[in-house]
Amino acid sequence: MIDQTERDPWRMVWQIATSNQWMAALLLCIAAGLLLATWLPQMPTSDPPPPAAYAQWLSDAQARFGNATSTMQALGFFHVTRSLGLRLLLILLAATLLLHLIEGIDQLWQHRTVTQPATEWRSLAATSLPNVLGALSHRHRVLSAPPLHQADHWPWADLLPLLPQTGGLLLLLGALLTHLWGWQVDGLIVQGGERTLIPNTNRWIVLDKTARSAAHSPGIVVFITDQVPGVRAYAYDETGKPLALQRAAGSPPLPQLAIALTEEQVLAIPEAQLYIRLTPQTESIRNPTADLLDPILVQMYQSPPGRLIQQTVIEEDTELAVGDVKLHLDGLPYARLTAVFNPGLWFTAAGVVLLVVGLVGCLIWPTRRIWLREGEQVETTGDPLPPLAQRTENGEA
Amino acid sequence: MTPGLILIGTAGGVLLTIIGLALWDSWRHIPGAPRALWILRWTTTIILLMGALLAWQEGDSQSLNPVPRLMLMAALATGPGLHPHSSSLSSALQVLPALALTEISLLWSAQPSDLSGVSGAEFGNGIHSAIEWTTVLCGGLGARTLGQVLSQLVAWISSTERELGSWSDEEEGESESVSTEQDSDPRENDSPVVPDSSSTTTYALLTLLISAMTLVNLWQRGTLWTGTTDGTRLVGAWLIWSAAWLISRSPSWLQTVLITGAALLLTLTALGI
Repeated sequence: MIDQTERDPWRMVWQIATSNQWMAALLLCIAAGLLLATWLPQMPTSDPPPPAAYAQWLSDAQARFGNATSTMQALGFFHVTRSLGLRLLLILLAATLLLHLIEGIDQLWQHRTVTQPATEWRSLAATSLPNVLGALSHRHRVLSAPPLHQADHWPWADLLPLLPQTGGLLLLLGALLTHLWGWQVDGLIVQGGERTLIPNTNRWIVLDKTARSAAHSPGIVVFITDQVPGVRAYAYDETGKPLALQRAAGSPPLPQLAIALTEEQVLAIPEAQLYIRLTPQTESIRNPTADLLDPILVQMYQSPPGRLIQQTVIEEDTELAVGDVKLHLDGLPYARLTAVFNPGLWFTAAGVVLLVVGLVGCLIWPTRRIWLREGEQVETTGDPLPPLAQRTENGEA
Repeated sequence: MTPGLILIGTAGGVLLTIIGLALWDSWRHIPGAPRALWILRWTTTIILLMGALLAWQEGDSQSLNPVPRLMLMAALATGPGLHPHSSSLSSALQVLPALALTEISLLWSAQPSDLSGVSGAEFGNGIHSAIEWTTVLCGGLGARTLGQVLSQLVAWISSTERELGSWSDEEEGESESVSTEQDSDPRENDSPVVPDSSSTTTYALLTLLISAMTLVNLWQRGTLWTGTTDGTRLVGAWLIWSAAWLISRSPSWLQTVLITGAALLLTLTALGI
């Protein structure tokens, strides 16, 4: 009968799937994947990746791995965290956690009464059973079904291991929801005080005038990655009449332009036949004073010859005069933002909290189950006796 | 020469004295050596803590520079228990990681290099400091665990050799070995390392650190995962330690390897290597 039970393949699968060794193997494989990702240069995560970032990554990868780069890329070594292998491991982990949870609930129910130990008995010399049971009863629940006695921490010690399993499942569920229905928009450039719609959504973001904090639609999280310099440009002729400005040849002429200086920018004053190049001086140290601009190199060219007629670095609101034309450049704060919609956020957060409470609880209050029986001698099995009971065992108490 | 540097040098010297005395005591028994070693370890801890404080004041007080970081980790790795009960050889092996950290901080003081550790700068000032300090605490406890694993491993190897020696002696004498029920607990004989309080404390602190970082990420950025190298390494160390903790019911050489790997990874991450 026992042999038939041991040969039952489903029981074997269940035993393997609910074993701590299997769970440990899965965790080790996931850890190996993550550590591999820290060692190998990973592709930019944006979809599609920014061309500059992709070029930088490809250059690094080819410098390190040469001809093997394309093979390694095909095998998924450069996008480990998004690879099929890691996702498969996470699915297996979720399934294992679920099986552990089911078995844990079953054990919680079964352990409400005395259970039969499966391990070998060892004898306790020079002690009496009532003394040991008395010592154990201070901090343990003691159940008696003579001649067998069982001491444990039921229900808390059986309940606490269920928390990390539930937490792990919630965390993975949150990650799945985020993967399926969540989105993330990186590198949004938003002007201070301006309301902006997030592309392809009906969600909005409003930055305050200093571009240091943001209000946004409910349900999304907005993170200010960095501050970006910017200017508001407008121009007048000698009579005070506003001159139209253009960003590019086909763009509409406007009385003023707001320009984020994430990189070099160009604008034109067609009526005065001037075009202006604005270059942020990124190598300079950022000035923390809000009234001052980050240094910007302004170069003004006369068209058609394309001759440089004026060049200056500005660090505050400035009026530049070229002939009869006066160009005003006022500082305008911008910020680069990341906007995230994460439908699994609360599941994930609850999962993390349960995981931590359960793990720390298990460390403080480990599952301990001791069996005692009295025949010719007092015998024990299961976990070792705690120190107090050991002293009793030695006849000191 | 700054006072911090003098204290690092002194601590390094005392640690070398500890190792020398411990080795001498394990070779030729010296009366009172365990107590002397215990006092010396506490002395080193205090010197290192004072050095960390001085080095911290000398540097930028807003962040934890490499030298105070290293000295704090070394202090955590050196500190003995409350009672002088460990053997001399065990004391010598336990302070080896602390000696390594002290020597690195001495070298770093002489020739600064890029050894930044987990910056945590992306989280904001208050949270940044908390995460940085906790990472250093974890790294120090990781180094302490490394020392303890090393000493327990050596103790296990020597006890196994003794057992094998006595077993072969008995076999040669054709005497039958009768095992008693008291020594049949497999955990006491098969395990090179029994997880101790240092290992448990490190794992608990690492768990709290990872969860705090995750919750801050969720709150600030809305994502579970930001993919920073330091964060990934910490999660990797936590996963390995979790695996070791899961198989703690049936300890084996694998658990020793896992705890050693996780502690090493944690210490290196805290150092920023």
